[in-house]
Amino acid sequence: MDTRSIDRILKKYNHEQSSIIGILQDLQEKENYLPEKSLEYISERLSMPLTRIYRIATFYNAFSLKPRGKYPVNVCLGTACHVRGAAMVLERIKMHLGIEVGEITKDNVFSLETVNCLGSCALGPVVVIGNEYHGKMTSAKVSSTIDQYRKDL
Amino acid sequence: MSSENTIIINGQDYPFNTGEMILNVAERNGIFIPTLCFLKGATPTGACRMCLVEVEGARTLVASCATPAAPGMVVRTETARVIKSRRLNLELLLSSGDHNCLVRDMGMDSWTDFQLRAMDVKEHQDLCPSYGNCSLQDLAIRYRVKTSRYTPTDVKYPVENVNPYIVRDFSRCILCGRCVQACNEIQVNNAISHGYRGSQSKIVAKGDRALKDSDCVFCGECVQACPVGALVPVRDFSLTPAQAETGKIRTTCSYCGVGCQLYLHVRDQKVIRVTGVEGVEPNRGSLCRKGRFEFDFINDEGRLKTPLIKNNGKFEEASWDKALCMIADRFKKIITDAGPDSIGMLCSANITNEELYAAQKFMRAAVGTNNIDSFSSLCDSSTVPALTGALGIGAMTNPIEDIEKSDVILIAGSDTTDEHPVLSSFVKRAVAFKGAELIVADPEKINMTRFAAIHLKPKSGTDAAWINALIHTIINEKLYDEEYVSSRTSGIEELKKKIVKYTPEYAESVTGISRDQLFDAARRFAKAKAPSIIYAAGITRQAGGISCVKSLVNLAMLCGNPGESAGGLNPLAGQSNCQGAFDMGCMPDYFSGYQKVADESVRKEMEKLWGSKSLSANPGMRAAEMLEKAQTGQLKALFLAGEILNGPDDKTKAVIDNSNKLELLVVQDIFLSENASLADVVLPAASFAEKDGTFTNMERSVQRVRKSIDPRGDARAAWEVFCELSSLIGYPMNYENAEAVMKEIANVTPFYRGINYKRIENNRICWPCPDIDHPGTPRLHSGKFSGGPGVFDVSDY
Repeated sequence: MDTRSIDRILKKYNHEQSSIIGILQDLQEKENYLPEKSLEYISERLSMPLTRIYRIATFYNAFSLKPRGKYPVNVCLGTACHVRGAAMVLERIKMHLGIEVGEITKDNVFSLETVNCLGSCALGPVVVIGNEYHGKMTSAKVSSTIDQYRKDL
Repeated sequence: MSSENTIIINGQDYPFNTGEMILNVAERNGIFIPTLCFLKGATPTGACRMCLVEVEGARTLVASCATPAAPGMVVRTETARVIKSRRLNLELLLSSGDHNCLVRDMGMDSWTDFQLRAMDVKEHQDLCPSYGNCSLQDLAIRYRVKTSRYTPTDVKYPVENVNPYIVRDFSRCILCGRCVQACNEIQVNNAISHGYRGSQSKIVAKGDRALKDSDCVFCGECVQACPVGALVPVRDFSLTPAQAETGKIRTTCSYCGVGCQLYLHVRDQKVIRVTGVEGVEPNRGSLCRKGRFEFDFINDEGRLKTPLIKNNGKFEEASWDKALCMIADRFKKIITDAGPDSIGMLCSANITNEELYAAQKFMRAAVGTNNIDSFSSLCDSSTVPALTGALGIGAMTNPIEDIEKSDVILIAGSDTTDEHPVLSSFVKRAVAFKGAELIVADPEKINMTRFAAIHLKPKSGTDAAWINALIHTIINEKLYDEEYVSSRTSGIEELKKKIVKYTPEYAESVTGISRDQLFDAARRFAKAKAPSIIYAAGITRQAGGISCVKSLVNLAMLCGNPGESAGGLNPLAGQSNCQGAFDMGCMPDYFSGYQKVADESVRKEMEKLWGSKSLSANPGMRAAEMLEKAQTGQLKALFLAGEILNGPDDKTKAVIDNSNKLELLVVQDIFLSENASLADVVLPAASFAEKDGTFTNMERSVQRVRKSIDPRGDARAAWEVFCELSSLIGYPMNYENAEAVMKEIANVTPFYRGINYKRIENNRICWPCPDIDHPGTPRLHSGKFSGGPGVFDVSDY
């Protein structure tokens, strides 16, 4: 655990307990997930009970307590995406990456999650890889889209 | 009655205090409003929606637990609309898990499917352990709830049965949050919280692990708070049929000096469960792990059941008559041969006042010696002389509840969360919710330092130096309460002179605490309105214990708090009846009530009251001296009395070893402890659950110990043993029961005079209580010190 980088985050937020969400967002940004050791460290530095931090960390979908891949893959299963075949897309991605929802590939590059709506229904089916949105996704486009990221490594 | 502070509930006018919730007003006036999530002492959350009531003019039903009463408000608690809402609420709750007790009216097929599914879980094969003790069940019956409307949801989390003491059954959790509040707001252990959201919601510990791998200390506060069968003591699963109703008897916990009030639940002469007594001081329903779960020793099969006499190195069972006659004969012989002062007695501080009183009376009036002491003198004896010398009374100045009202709390030499867990929650609440500042002085990082504003880390054994340095700063910067000091104390000039050398710089070099920290601590302490000092064995059980305590007394008097505010000077007694052992005269130099043995008029008075021959004026031996002389052979006989098992020495083996040169060692204990195995005669003692009596806790309140089961085998309370022994030796001592002993205690002890069993039946009384109409004195030294002006007595480090 890199305590110095956490200290930098804490300093940015003035060691305020009330800024815990911001602190967790920055940590998530940096580590791709919220490592337990880091949360324990934050709890100690802020004199904030660890359970209270967990309460927040488990509440929001944006936070993950498990390592995420370098490129988290989020498949939207909202109504609009669903009727346009999101389920097929998801199946295809599972097959291509060889993992189930909630898992991470062996090389730690991709992790797979689903969301219930991303608010960009016009683009459906939508798949978000890393920070990039891929609209009008079809099962045929899955392989080439994902492999693009592998190439960029 | 002015309409300004009156509300109308169900057509009746009721007064209320500003800020009071509707629910409180209703409860106070005996109007029933059902609740599931409401927990006394915690912030109302309004989560369960059971306490909804109709308020005229309000758009919706309102949660009465979280709605303040307002002038002229018209409230109805049981209208058709209210009941409809409650029933719907209950239907939904019942369908949210494995609530498979009797309150179901599903169609036959779905009922069977549901039952089979629920009973698939190992823990669900018997009746729910909370059957008959479940608020959800009670309310479902009360409101005749039908459950056919909704299909029970699937259970998302398995039963957590890997913990000691507590089983967590998420399938029966209704997410009311009482356990979370009990943990975070009452005990302030912060071990559990809500986790996840929506239908995935769950009560989680750190990292969503089992309680055993979290910060949980197993105080069981959550178990007592759980209104359903989601948190259940492990032991309850072994009871079949679960929960067949039992008797419960209120008594006082026998572990530490807090004196928590608890119920022993009893079935078939066995203690099967312990719960806290809610709504009474000192613990208000809270207990700790030991008090709540560690009671197996009472039922243990290994308990001593008959007297044992050692014959050629082996114990043989004997009758009481034989054992007592033997002890009496040997005692008589030793008295004739070597004099009464060659016999000594040590009592544990876990036995009742009645037993302790009888012990010292037996030694003084029947044997004729002052060689009587208690195990508490091994740990707390610094407090009594130091406090008596300065303030007149050697005990905690304030009741425990005052700690929560303090604004600065100094804890020295006490691992409070470990040694006095229930008391520590008063400190933690003061810090977490009332804005108090905590200063902890301890060489180690302890649990309490998590709550501390300042952690002073003295090298061990240097406590007097840092305390004196605080005093130095307070005097130097004129931060002390001049009016208080001039009107109520003496010796300030002396103190000023002597304290000069304890500069923070000097203290820094001795204790290793930085001078800045010392300045900071002194200033914070001095500016407090109600500073509280809490100290325990870490201070008293060191070589210079008395000087440390004296310095703490000086600090307290300088800042003007003993007697005047909620703070005070609070030594924490380690054992359940440490205070009682001192009060009852289980000390070589005092009769009961700190009446000096050396004072001839006191002796004459006691001779008259006891109808005894002339009492010995020889100063008796302290515990340590007795143990030493047992090794050299100057002490011929020693009697160890009580539940020594739970004494301060249960970790350090026997107090006496095999090389002793005693002619006779008698041990009365509940187990064949290491001490007992060395004895010539062993007597079986009744445990605290098996006898009547009283304990005096650290805040000087006299509380009842009640017999809830019969003694194991032939075990007896110690006072009965002393009566018989005394009569055999030639000084008849007879009491009908423990109450009669207390009558005599009240008669011969001035500050216990107003105490009798009837008065303390439901509520404690703190001594001094000089007459039958006196309400007791929870806070000492109000207005003036009990022993004349408070004396500053400087002790050098």
